[in-house]
Amino acid sequence: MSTLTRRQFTKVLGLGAAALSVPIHVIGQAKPKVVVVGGGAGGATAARYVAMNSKGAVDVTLIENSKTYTTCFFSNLYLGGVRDFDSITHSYDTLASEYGINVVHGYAAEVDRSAKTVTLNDGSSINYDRLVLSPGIDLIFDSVPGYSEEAATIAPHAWQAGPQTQLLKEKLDALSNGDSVVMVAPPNPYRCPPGPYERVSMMAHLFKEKGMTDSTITIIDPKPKFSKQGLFTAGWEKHYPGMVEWISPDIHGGIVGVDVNAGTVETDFDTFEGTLLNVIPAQRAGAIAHQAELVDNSGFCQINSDSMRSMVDENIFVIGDASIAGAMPKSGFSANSQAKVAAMHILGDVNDGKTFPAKYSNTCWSMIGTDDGVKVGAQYASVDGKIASTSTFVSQGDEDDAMRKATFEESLGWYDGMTKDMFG
Amino acid sequence: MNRFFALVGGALLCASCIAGETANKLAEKTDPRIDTIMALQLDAAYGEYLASECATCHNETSTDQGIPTIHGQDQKYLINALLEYQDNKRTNETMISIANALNEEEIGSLALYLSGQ
Repeated sequence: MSTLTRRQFTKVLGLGAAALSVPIHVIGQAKPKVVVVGGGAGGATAARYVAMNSKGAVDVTLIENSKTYTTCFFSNLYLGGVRDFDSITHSYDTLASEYGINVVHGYAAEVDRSAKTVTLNDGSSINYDRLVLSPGIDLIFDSVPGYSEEAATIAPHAWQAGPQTQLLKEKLDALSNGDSVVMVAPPNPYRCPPGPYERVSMMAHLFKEKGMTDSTITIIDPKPKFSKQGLFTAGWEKHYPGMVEWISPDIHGGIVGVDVNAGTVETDFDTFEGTLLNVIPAQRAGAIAHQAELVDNSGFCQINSDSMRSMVDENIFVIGDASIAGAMPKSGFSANSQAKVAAMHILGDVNDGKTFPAKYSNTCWSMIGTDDGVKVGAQYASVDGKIASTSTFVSQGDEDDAMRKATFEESLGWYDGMTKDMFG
Repeated sequence: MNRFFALVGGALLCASCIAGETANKLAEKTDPRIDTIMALQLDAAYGEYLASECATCHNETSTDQGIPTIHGQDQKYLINALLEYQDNKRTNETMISIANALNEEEIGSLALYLSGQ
């Protein structure tokens, strides 16, 4: 004889309630199957919203290679010693236990669009009625001559959070006063536009906290300008005078290559030497988007701006960094917002869900120094077939300390809300 | 009532709260458009979709860390707050941007849904 725990009893009740809400035409048939590839800001959110809003009427599978997820957002705060690694690492357990999502830890290698299956590296296949691809980015290592996956063990990119982030942290912590860092910043388009510059801020913060005020950070940038540039440069001057130097392509003339063993970055103008190199190469959509032939010449995926549906295959939604989302930056917040639009349309397709005009949001907070937060963001809508901003905002240069502190505290609240919205 | 006072410490919705007034009194005094919005044909399902965008920052079990709880707040209070952001009477740029992207029906539907949570 078995007895029910309180949690099991609650789940039985929940399933009963769910059964009552299943559309009549679905009763007696197999549940619609939604498969989500990628358990990050886009994929975890999409899986959760489809499962939550279908109340058990849709079978949701989330395929993610990693057992836990470390957020890229706030990983710079970990590098700066402001957050610990555990605080930016999250479990998928609640998505499975509370939302009934079938979480499969494996590498999704192949999509067969005509058979509507996803095949994992272990050879197993999963059928879908609708597929969400949220694979994030792949790094184009050779976009920086001399850089490679192997070279990244010496000069970490840390642009996909996890072991690379920990490796960069270890190397930063091993530096001494007077040592230097040279960052090779990525070309557009790339994940998290303000990210490299927040990272530099947090590196400088770490050095300042350790009394390493003779250390320097040099950014070799392939771009002539960058996100929140005025706010960052003013912040560096205020908090870390003389420690940070940004070198634009007008000055260096172009990045020729890196030698990670020698610790050098060669440009047309000069060769820059660092005790530690942080190389962030160019990026493209994750491999499975290429295998499924959903990408265009840009290396990313065109989507319908009303729904985040692939322009190539109406049964597939591409969200997050892998998509070409018009005016929206590649950010965790954007991916989370796009996931809700996709989830709504998926439920419209398979569960008679109501659909409404898409609204998208993004805010990127960046920490320049302790209690010095800045932000940029916008609201977006589908306009003439593209995602266009309808209202924008950015922190002002003349804000007082109290405002900057409030913005930083706001970012802490956002992180809490965002990760609950992803993982339950 | 406790929820209202919890909001006073928040950074976003509470920039212009006046301590000691109830949410309803505050709303009734400030803007005649609130009743106009309340009288519209509001759609809680649409509000639920719109509220999903709010949930990125305002989670239902928020501990009020920099961002206040909005789920379960008074409907008129929420409408009033969004109108005040549209009118630049409240200063948070994120919320001003969000409020400016909403029409009256959307504000009403959003407030209807959130107040029922």
